[in-house]
Amino acid sequence: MTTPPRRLHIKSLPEAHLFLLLALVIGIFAGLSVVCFRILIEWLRIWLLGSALLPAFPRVVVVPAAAGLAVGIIALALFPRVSGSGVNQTKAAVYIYDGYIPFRTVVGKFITSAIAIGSGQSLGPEDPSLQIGAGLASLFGRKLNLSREKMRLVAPIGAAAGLAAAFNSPITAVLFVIEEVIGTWSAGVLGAILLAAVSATVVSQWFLGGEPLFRVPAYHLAHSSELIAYAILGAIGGFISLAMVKLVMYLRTRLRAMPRWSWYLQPAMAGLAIGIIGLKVPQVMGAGYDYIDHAMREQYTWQMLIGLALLKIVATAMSFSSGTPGGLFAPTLFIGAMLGAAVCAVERMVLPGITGPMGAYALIGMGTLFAGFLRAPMTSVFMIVEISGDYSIVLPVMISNTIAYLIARRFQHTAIFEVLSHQDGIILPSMEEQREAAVQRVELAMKGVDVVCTGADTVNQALARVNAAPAEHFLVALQGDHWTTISKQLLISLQAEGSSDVPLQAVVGFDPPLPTLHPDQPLDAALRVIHDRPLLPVVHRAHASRLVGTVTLEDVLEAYRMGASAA
Amino acid sequence: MDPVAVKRGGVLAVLLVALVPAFAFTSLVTRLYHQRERVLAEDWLRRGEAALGSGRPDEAVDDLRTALVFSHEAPSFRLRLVDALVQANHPVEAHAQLTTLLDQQPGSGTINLQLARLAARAGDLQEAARYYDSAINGIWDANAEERRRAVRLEFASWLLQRGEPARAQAQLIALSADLPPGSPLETQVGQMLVDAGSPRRASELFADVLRRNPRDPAALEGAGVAAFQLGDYAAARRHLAAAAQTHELSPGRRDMLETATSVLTLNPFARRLSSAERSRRSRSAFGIARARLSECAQTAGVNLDDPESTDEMRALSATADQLEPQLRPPAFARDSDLLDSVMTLVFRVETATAARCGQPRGADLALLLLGREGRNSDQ
Repeated sequence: MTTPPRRLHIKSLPEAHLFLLLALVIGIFAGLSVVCFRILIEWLRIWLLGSALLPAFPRVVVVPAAAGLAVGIIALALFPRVSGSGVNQTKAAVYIYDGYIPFRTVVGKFITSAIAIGSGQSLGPEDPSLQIGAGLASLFGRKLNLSREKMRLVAPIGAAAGLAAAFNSPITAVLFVIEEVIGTWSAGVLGAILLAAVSATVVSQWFLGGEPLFRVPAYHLAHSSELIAYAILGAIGGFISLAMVKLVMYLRTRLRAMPRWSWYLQPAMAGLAIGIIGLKVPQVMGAGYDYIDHAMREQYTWQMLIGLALLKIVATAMSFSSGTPGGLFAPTLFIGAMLGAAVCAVERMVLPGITGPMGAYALIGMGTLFAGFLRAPMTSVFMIVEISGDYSIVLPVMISNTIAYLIARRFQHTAIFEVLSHQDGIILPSMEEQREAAVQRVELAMKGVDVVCTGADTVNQALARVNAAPAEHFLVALQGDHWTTISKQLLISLQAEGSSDVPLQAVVGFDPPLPTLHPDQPLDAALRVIHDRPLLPVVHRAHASRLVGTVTLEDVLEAYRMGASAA
Repeated sequence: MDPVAVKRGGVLAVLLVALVPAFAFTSLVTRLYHQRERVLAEDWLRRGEAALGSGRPDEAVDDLRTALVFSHEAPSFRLRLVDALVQANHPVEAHAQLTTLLDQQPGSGTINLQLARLAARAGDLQEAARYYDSAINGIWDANAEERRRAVRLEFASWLLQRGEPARAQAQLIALSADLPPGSPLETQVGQMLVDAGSPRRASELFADVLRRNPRDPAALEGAGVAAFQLGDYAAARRHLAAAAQTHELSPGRRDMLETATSVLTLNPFARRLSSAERSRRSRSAFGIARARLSECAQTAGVNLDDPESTDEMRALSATADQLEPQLRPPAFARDSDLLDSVMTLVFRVETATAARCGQPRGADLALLLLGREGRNSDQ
């Protein structure tokens, strides 16, 4: 008698494990997509503008304009969601659309951004890569029928993967997504994001090599007073960032206010203007990474460096505001590099003995603009350290970036991504505001302790203590640092029953212990655990048996009310 | 069976399978692009080198920058760009490019040499010395020993141009010790040792060359010059005369030969001379010095007949007047100190007139040299 074949039981893969596996797959596909995206940009650049670093006339003028026209028509007619950098679109997917990014958007972004950047529009490939990665992740998540909660997380995972592959810097990508897109460091999503970013980077390096975006000269601080120069760079960078934001805001508002038919032509007009600039200054076209390298090699005079920075600001504002799909990362780095190099060049004229290599200033300049314009201070610091591979640069980076960030924030409260989303009529949570929002803590709500009973107290002893107190419920300290409550009413009832000498341990010892709070915890931690309990103990972190206060639901609500009034 | 699980399994399986064509496609695209990049890099390199060869360095710089981008910053491309930058007079950028290369290959002899040349061009002695040393001790791809010698020679040559003979000497001594026998650099190094103020070592080097090839023109000439500087006028005349038979000497060398000959013929202290010959030579020297004194006094406006004059030349002239009546052969035979007295006066006259009226020529120069070298210039 033969044994019947065993049935194949397909067990449900736990969603957490599925998520990690998915993160790996997302990372690989995002890496492959970004590799193809970058190559397509380069192919198009060579095909449209020629292989020379300095494109010849009339290509330099005609190509950006013609390509801009094509992009404008394609984007508006076929792929209406591809405009913009991609960062806000990914955030919108997370916070509004439950992680949904149409695949059509991914295809459209891929094609239109490649044409735009390859034809010389002053935009970068990183932000579109972020959106492409997010879109792929969204597609995979939908096909796998992930829960809504997981769908909201899958887009940032793809975003980190896409950005990591584009930038060849996984740490920067992870930090940026956490800092700007999801604003949380929860362990569950962090692991998946890291996995996706690393796998995407590995794929990208497999095909395109592990060379860094720029060859940065070895950094050394020529003199400690050089830090003053970096501080000055930070101040200048802060004001330049401010100017950039204002310009983009102004231009985008004006262009979007124009009739809709003009939107088809705006990328072409931007392309034409950039092409005209490119006749004399072709460095402002495209992403501009090659020219960042030139600046680091001291190829330009300080006048040229300042000119490049200013023209790039204008070109980028035109490209971006016209609705041309493409990113802001690369132009930001370009402007920062030129600015940093210019500061170095000027400083050398004044203080030649204490000025370090221009490459270092250009590098720090990049971080400065990143912090001031994109308002991602933590990402900007780690980005520079990751790009340079030199930890010793962290001090000037932090000085410069912090100053730029503070200046930019002081005079322009709303960050650029938030500005753009407001202009689009979307209210997305501001990660910056979340970071800087004052956290209300338990210590604000807790009250002092009047009476505490112990498990060893008898009913009579306890009643003697609580009789004078106005409260109705009281804490009882049990063995093993456990806490529970007892009401005055219950004590009176027990006394009436003749249980006056019964220790409280016997009365309430079998109740489940109360969850404890700590003074530094956010107030919402109290809300999550208080349920219908009359009060909760607030204990010292180092000594769990040491009571520092109590908190009731009313106390918590009162604290929130007071916090709202203060705001 | 859980349909969701089945679907998820299916989707995952599809995704995993789809990785294969995705990788294949990306690989194909990447390979095609890299091939295109290589072609473009080579093409722009050729253009750049053509422009460089045609004397258009600025155009070459643009072309080679483009080549560098497509080559993914291959070191060989960067080095060509550096050549173009140097020729186009962009030393700052050239330095930056070389620094980048040096970060990648700190021991490279080629890169250190380029940096040394940049520093030398900028006149930075410390930097140039540092990089030249690094180049000499650096790693070379082929013919390392020859390259090192060439670099050391270049360094020494530059030091001589910079007026650093002592440092040049150190390099040349090290180089001469390192030269294999029969090296074509021997005579060049010898010449440079003479220029660096080390005629003795130069002489030894030339002697080695002449031992192998007694008729080597450059070695003969060099040996003659070295001997002249050492005060060995007999050897100097011998070598220079031999050199003159192999090739035409330069005017300076001809003068040197004549001077050496004059020293030998005018020297009354030479060995194996008869007293008559000594007398004749000393009287001849006296006459030459007297004429020089008169000529120089006339040029300097000194009246040699003025008894009140305190000028040194007047004093010398007075001494000569006193000595002249004694200049007869019998007097030399009788008075062994007369020769010394005459020649001492001659040397004083030549020294004083050299200081007043400039470096002498011909016989006067010979007498001056004779006075400096003492009595050891022998025939």
